[in-house]
Amino acid sequence: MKISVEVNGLRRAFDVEPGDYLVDTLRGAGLFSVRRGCDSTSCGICTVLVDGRPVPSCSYLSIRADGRSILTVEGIASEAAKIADRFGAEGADQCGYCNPSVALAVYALKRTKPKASDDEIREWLVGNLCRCSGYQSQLAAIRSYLEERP
Amino acid sequence: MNVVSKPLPSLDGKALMMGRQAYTDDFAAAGSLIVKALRSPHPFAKIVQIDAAEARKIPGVELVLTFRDFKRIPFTRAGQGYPEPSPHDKFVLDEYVRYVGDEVAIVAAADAKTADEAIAAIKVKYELLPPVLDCETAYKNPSVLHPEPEIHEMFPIGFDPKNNVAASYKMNVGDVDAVLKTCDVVVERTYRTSAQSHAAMEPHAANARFDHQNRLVLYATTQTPVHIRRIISQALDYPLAQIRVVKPRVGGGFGGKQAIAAELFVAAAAIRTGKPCRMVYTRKEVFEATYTRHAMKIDMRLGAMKDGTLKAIDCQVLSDTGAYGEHALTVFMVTGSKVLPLYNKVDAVRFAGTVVYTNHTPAGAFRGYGAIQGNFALESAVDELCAALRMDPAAFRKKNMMREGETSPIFAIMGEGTEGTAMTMDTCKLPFCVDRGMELCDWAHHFPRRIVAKNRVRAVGMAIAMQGSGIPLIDMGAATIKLNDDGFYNLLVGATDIGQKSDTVLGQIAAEELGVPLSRMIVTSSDTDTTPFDTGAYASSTTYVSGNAVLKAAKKMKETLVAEAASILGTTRDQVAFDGETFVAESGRLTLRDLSNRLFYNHGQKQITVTESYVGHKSPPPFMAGFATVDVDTETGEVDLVDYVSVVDCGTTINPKLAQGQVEGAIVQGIGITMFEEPAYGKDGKMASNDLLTYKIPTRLEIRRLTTEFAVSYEESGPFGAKSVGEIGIDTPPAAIANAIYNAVGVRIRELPITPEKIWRGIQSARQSK
Amino acid sequence: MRIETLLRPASLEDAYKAYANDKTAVLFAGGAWNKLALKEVKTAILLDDLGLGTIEAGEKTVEIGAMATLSDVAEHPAVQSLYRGMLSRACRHVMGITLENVATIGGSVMGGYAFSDIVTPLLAMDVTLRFHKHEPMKLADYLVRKTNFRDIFVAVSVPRRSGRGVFRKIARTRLDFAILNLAVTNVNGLYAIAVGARPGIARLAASAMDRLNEINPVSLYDIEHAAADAAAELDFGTNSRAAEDYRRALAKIHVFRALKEVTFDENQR
Repeated sequence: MKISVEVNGLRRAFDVEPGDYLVDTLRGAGLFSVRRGCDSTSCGICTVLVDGRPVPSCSYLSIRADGRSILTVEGIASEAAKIADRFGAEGADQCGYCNPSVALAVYALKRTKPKASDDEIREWLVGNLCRCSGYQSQLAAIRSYLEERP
Repeated sequence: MNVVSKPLPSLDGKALMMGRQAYTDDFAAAGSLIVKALRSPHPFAKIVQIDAAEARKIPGVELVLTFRDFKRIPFTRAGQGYPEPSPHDKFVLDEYVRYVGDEVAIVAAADAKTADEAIAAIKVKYELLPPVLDCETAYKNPSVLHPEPEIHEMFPIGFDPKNNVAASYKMNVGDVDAVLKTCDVVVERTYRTSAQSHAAMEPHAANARFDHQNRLVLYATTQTPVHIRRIISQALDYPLAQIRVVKPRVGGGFGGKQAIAAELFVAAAAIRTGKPCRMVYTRKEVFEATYTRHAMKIDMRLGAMKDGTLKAIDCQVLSDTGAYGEHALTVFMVTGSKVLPLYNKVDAVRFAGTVVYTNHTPAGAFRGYGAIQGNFALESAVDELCAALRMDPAAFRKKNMMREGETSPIFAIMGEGTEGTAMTMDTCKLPFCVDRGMELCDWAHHFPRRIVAKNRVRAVGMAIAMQGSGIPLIDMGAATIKLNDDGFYNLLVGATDIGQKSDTVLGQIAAEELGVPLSRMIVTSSDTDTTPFDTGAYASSTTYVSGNAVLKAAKKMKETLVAEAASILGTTRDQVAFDGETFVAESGRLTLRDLSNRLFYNHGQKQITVTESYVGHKSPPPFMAGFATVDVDTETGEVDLVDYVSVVDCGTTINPKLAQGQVEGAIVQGIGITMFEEPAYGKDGKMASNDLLTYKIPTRLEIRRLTTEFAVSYEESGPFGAKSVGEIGIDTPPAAIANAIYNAVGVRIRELPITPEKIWRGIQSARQSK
Repeated sequence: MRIETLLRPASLEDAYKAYANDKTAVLFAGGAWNKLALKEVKTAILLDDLGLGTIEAGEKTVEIGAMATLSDVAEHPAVQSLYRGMLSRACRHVMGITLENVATIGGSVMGGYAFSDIVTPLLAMDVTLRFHKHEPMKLADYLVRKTNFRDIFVAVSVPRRSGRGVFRKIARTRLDFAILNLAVTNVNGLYAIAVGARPGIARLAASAMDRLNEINPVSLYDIEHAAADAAAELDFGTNSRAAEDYRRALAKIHVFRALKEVTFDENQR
């Protein structure tokens, strides 16, 4: 089935099976940041933005993306670099595997709730697991990114 | 210090955040065959018949391998130095399957869909055997998991497979029974810890291909590329020199990627087909078919005098190593060797135990490596002893714990599978750690508890811990530094960055010594063809062992450069001052940049490269004191973890923010096994909690606050005074939280996890017995 | 997932025909649960194009379209104003915002999941389910229906009543299934008590409610009794997450606290 999707600002055509999930379609298109962490929609590692909203790409049928606009971290490179600077300053990055998904969620947060409190940051990102950092340093980094003038 | 002790951002953080091609599966060759495994649905069975004929006929299926396709070579999958202290009790594929998830057949096909079809088409007839699903019934169980005649230990580790024993050990100092008889108070308790799953965010993966020299090249999610290479060579009977293993960025390991997994199958498939192959484990496979922590039952006896002097410790361990014996002996020994010395002034101490086979997912290395299990038992028992003595647990610890300048006879006796190494604690800031921690959690105000609201009690609990810094006389690390034109360096290390940012930390050490900013030190790690040896990322060895190798190499490079500069400036070495940028002598000046360009292109050309190695002669332990503040709902048993205070002595923090990250990440994993992570096996022997839906690791909302500080400490034997920091954080949460719960509501939980239901039950039975 | 045929009907009637006439057809709303539960689907019917994603605030009801995501529901001002935001809070306690951005209210109700955190507050709010063909049904009746019927679920109709509500979910971690959940409402002295994940699906503690609703004004003593009644009246069970007796104890304690909050507390969380 042919679909037309805007990916990171470029209109792209894909030929997908009905049962294909967005994570595989995007990763198959060369987007290394899009990856799986689990098989049960439980970890948030596969998060991409569909029409600006964080979505679990492992559970989102590719066919539903037809006509929609998708952002992966490759499409927000300068913001991702800014978020990375904040993470770097706090030592909040470790293995990095969750970082692209967290960056997308944080990007969406800044555009949805720029004055989010610590608890609101935690709530927004609760579905994005991290096994390395203990979360505290990430919270400090995210707070600092939100406070930064756009 | 310009570079060391600075919280510099990591070398790779930004690129990884930006989604660059960096992890193992990102490097799979285009058009790779997809490799998958058919896995046993039974906990214990013999394969009576296996027929892959139909599967092989499916278009797109290139290979189906069963146990008959492999030479029968026993080995161990454990990621350890050779000869390994783990039994060689594994075959690539065997006619027995020993846990639900054990590999039965390997398939390589054109795509995932075809691979799945092939797996479904393999016909297997099993003879079901009675499984051993309870480690307490494993010993001498009539069902013997490992009857194979070819398996063996590499040196005596107490291997006794006929009785389902993978390893055993015992030692004693003094006469524990006699001393206990003289004690005023004796506490005797049993503690149980569960198997924990690592749940690293990146699933295990590997891919293999033949390069332009027809050599087998693997990319793998591994903590131990050199061990992987050796194991593949042995198990597949393939020339070692024809194998190259590259570890790219890895999405977390924590011990779960220390032993070999997908690499064997991908290598076997590539060798047989000649084609590039790739394998990515599903999350279910990661849970069921890689490794877990060793579940343990620990019987602890402590004896003390009325005045609070601890006189004797008796620690008996039963450890469940699951279907195969990877890391069986060594984890179990660390339960004693990196826990019991905390109270080094006892008159007698005994440690003994058995590690048994069961038909569970194999247990293996996991951060803490036995110390977390032992710490839960010892530090809980200490608080139980304090309750009997009516003594403040902080005061008791300060009275009895290890101090700087002291030693413990256990160090000389217990190594990792071999004899130990005697050592004195040149650095031990435990007294500061305890005092500062008490301050930070306001122990005086909160101990034992304070009522904060109706039905809500706040309490504090503590534990102290130690770990190690590499395995002395066994772990070796090496570093090569190469000078480039323009005056920058390549640092090549075997040390394995699996997310703990060792590339950055080692780069900082080299940059500091050579007087350059970190940006002039290009770090490359973990390619068995190009980087020098390193045992790998385990035993908290990287900063201390690999770091010392890096420091030695940097020193050597500096000397060599100074000698070159002296020769060019027509003077002697001792006349030349070098600040990292410029060589200055009375006879003239020369920048490093000019020197390097000259050596590359102009005059007396040579490539300056130095390699140095380091083996530790001791393993200076990091220490910490952990304090949990909990709010307990006295009606429901629900617990809020209000704060976790950690005060750590790890020597110098080469990178303070990254060190803090290591501690806090480990603390949260420790909180996980204590409160939330509940691995479960069904009656059918299948791991019930085999996905992240049912196995719950802590989320951002369970971790309200972490307060982490470091003691000022300088370990002379470590690079720039550093010890290690990778594991120490995980050890204290189980006992600290159990002790806090006891202080809150008088309920003592001795079996992890500590759940609200268990607390509620404890409160109910206390009420009933009143 | 393997899907043999995928349909994207443009009208409710087309969707209904495809679903009602083919017993093997599976409806895809958010699709998250389907992904977990199903490996092969013969015919998948996507509900994306039927305009069912809106939330409309009328005078008497708030109509929540079946394809409204849990996030849509959580963020909508009209929903936030119902029972002091009880339903919004429940929608934000399912499994994280990313999942809540795709899971739908329709999927949550039609899925019939015993662990559902959404069915419990909907039950307490006395909602009506609207279908394409079938008569509107109260959720309470739908949950105990004797016969199944294949229809397209169109909207949840929530009566706009001015009252207080409390939703509680007790779980191991914030992302876990509930050990127990409950929703308690108070509309001018008339109470509803719903308890779910018992582990069974949500039920109203009808007898406890009846007894409590005869009393006016209500005292702390009455509330204590009502909670005890509810815990005694409902069925609880044991599963891997909790034992029956603990669930019953939790129900009693948390229903009591929730009743207290909707009765005496001026400010609710």
